[in-house]
Amino acid sequence: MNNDRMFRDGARVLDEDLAGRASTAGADALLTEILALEPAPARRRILPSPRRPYPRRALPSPRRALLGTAVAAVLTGAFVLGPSLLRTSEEVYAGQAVTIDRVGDEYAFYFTEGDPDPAELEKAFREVGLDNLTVKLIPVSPRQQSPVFGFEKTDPDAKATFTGGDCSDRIDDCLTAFSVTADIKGPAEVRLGRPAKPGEKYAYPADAGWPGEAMAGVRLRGLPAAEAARLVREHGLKVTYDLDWPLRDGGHGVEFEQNVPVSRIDPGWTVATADSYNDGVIVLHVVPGPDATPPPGF
Amino acid sequence: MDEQVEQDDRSRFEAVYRRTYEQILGYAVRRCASPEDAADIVAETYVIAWRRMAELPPGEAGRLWLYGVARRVLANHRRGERRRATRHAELTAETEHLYAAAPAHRGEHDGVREAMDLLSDDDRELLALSVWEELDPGEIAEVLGCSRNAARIRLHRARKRFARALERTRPSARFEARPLIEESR
Repeated sequence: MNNDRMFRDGARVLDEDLAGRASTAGADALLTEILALEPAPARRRILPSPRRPYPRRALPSPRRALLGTAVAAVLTGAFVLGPSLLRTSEEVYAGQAVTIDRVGDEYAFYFTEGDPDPAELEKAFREVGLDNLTVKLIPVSPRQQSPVFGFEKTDPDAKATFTGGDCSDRIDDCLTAFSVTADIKGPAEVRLGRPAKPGEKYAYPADAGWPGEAMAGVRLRGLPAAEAARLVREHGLKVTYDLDWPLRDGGHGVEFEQNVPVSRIDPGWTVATADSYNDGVIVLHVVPGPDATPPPGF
Repeated sequence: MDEQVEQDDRSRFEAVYRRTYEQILGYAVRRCASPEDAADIVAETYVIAWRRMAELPPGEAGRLWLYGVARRVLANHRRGERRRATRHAELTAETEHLYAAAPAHRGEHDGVREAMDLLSDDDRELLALSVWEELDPGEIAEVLGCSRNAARIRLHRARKRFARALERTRPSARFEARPLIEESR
């Protein structure tokens, strides 16, 4: 027996022993689970921002949610979707839930745990001197696959850059990443999604058509607004409207005008998405027609 | 348009998944001590592949790319960086049966297992990719991200060290160190 043969015989199984395994129930189930996850980030529409309790126009500065640039969903805060964090850097902390690099005058955070322990994250932040950075878990749909991430800060000079899920070149299995200036002052809060309890309202929107959600199995996307609203009401739910305005600079993305009165919605305009906060209301995101005039600021 | 792209991705991913599943499962089972870990490696490898479909090469190169992903996932597991992106309960159960049904290591007798354990992780992985995954040096180079020549030389050295390890663990047997030229398939 030659040496390669002996090595080969040391294998627990050989590929030839696994013939037919690609179509077992386990293989089928895994495939189904994976296909239910977010697809490739470069082609995915990022979920919209959380609904505010007042019209978009009341906000002093516009916030834009860009499409198709990241896996993780940005919650709140003065984020700029920025370039990759892949620069010369030094790893200053590595744990199961987060890896922290020092990149120039910033810390870059790479989150790797889908269901992290806030205390562990806060401990990591303390390790690098970010004593005022806390972690809060917020309820999101149990069907939410991509991590929900948000950041609030009180330091007006601090800069935070969100890079989303395009971070696995730095850390295998990186779920989402962001960076913040290392000398950030005052309290700041990282918000991460946790599965909501039964009946609990979501702090971040879910696709209303996902299995288990309020409009499960009903396809609202692509329908005229009036027809979508009728279907929603047939389910005993209320309707509100957001308008998805294209970016004025022609960039790839939209800006949401929230809580738009129905009088401004053309019944024939098309529904882009339908959101649920598990509160009995479905938010229809409507694409304004080509002749529609955006309000000031959009 | 986006839906069509997404559907194309799904179809392509499923085709790759079906074509490579047995090999990636084998890769994981041969390297993991527990069925749970093996199931995790398989699941995480394909989750990464799904999320990085744009990078997944077509054809046979896709299998090598997946081996590379699995290798990095495995390394992360060994460093204790674990993440379970899917539940894959059925896969874990099936993998448990696979472990239970597998015969005791065929190489455990006569000191073969001990010789394998004497090797460095790098040497063992080189030999494994060559013998277990049946990759040639060019393919090993793809998986490891090195040149073909480097893979060939490192594989040769690994074979020599395995032969020496066998001499230590099986002193009564005769062992060969295959000449370098035989390593090209």
